[in-house]
Amino acid sequence: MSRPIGLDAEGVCFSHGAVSILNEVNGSFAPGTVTALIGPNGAGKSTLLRVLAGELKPSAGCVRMNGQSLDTLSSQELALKRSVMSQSSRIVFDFLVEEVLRMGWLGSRQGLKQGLENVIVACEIEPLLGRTFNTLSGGEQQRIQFARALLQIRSDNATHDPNYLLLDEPTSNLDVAHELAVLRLAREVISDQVGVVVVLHDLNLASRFADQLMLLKNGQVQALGAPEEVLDSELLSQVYATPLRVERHNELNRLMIYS
Amino acid sequence: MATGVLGSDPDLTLDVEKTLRSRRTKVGILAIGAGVLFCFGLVVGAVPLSLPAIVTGTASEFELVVFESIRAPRVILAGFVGAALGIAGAALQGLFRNPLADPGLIGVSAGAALGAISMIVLGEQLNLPEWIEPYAIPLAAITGALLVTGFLYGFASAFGHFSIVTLLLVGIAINALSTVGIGAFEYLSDDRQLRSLVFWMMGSFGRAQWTTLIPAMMVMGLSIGFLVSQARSLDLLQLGEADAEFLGVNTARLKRIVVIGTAFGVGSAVALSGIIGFVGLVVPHLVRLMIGPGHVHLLPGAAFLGAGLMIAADMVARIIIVPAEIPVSLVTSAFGAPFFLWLIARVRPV
Repeated sequence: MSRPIGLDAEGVCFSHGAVSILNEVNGSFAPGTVTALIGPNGAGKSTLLRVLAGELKPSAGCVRMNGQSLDTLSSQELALKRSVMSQSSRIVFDFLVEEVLRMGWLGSRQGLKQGLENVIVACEIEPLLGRTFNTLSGGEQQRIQFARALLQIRSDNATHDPNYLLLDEPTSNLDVAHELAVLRLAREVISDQVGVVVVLHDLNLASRFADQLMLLKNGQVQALGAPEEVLDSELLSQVYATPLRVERHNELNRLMIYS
Repeated sequence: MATGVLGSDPDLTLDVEKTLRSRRTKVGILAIGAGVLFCFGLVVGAVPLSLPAIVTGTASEFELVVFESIRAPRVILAGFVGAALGIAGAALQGLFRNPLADPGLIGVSAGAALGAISMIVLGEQLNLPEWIEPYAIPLAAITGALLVTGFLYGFASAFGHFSIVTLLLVGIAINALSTVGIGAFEYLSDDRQLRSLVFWMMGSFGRAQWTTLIPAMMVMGLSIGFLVSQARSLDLLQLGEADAEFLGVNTARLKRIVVIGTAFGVGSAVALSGIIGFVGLVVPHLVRLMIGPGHVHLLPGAAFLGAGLMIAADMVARIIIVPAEIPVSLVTSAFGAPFFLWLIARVRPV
């Protein structure tokens, strides 16, 4: 395959009026990996995700998806290549859970049934079928939206180019068990040539599920690399302006962050 | 790209398909209902008619004249106006993601009314060529509706983001301005014009005639077709503008089509029959209760139910004080206004 692959931010700046929100962000998000965007509130994590999704146009720099600048792709083309789970949104009318799920399917009619079944089983949301989306709890709604984003990624089988799944705090309303389940699924999809970028607040989850971490503060990248490189007691304490300690937990064999 | 994460259960999606099939059936039932009411509308009235007699040619000449030049155009007009208003309401509610939206709300009806009224009052001074006279009021109404929506669109997009709240607020201002304009024309008009104007403001299908009905039918039919073609995009829009865009919907284009499609449908409806309130509000809500919120079924359902209810309301208006009649908008408002209050109490604050 000669085409370059990957989702790349090249010198991305974004400002809202006079306020600079992202400043010269560079980063590469490869298919087959999970990248977590971490950093304190207002660091620009969600904004970066929206720029990567093509919703916001960078005021300078550009984002390339598999070598093509996002500017050159129509929203239909983009929809087949990447799916986005935004922070929870409300639906006014009384749509059924399965109707909301189906909204994510962009493929052929014939593939819908199988695609739908796969995500329903994978996300364990069968008990929620037949209910009105509005009557679900915030966490349940979030699981449905995650399943919908997953279905959207699965509906592209036209090309072999990698796809991307962008998640903005997908677990903010979930209990511990569902939090782990969602992130495990996010890890599972990367085996299908999918690159995952996820905004996470929980540093322990980030260190456990991500292959790459991007630490942001005031719109600037403070560190980018494997969790072992980025999660450093001194760096984190300085970025979050609060004392934090990173230790390797021998029994679990992973880094733990203590406040 | 079935990854076969776990085993799959073949019965899982069966219920979904059953639900969708039953929704299609319900749309069919609404269509049949509209057809039955259409036939009733043709025979019921100050002069009772018999369809078999008309078809077999045994009806008297008088009955044939009543059928051809009074009854048929009137019932057809009622059906088309009901369909156009019902579907316009459903599409606007979808666009605004607000069950209280209505063609009247964003100022389209008021704009059309202002256009039509200015033609009623000033038309005589314009010395229009004779052939254009029957179309003058419809054209003025469509122009009014388009000016309003065009202005709405331009005004809202001048701020870079065509947000739905902006549109609603500007709509309120336009409604107020149109009221000023209508009031001014009322003041300018003479007694005869005022009578015609007031009756027209209350809405009636009494003046249906083929010369204006046929072009209006084509315009309303096109408007209905355009709006139905946007069903899936309107569904996706319910996830929010950004999420719809993530799923490939060109939201700017969708808004343009819905706004223009509504303007043409409502403009020609208002031109031929005056302002008929609450149909665009009530009908989509009833269809949502009966069938569901998905626009693939909601939009055609609203067209059929709107047509049926409007024909029924017109029948009531025609026969309640035979041989005179009351404006049809009195009927729709008598049922619609209490419904509106109930709806306000029921809808959760957005």
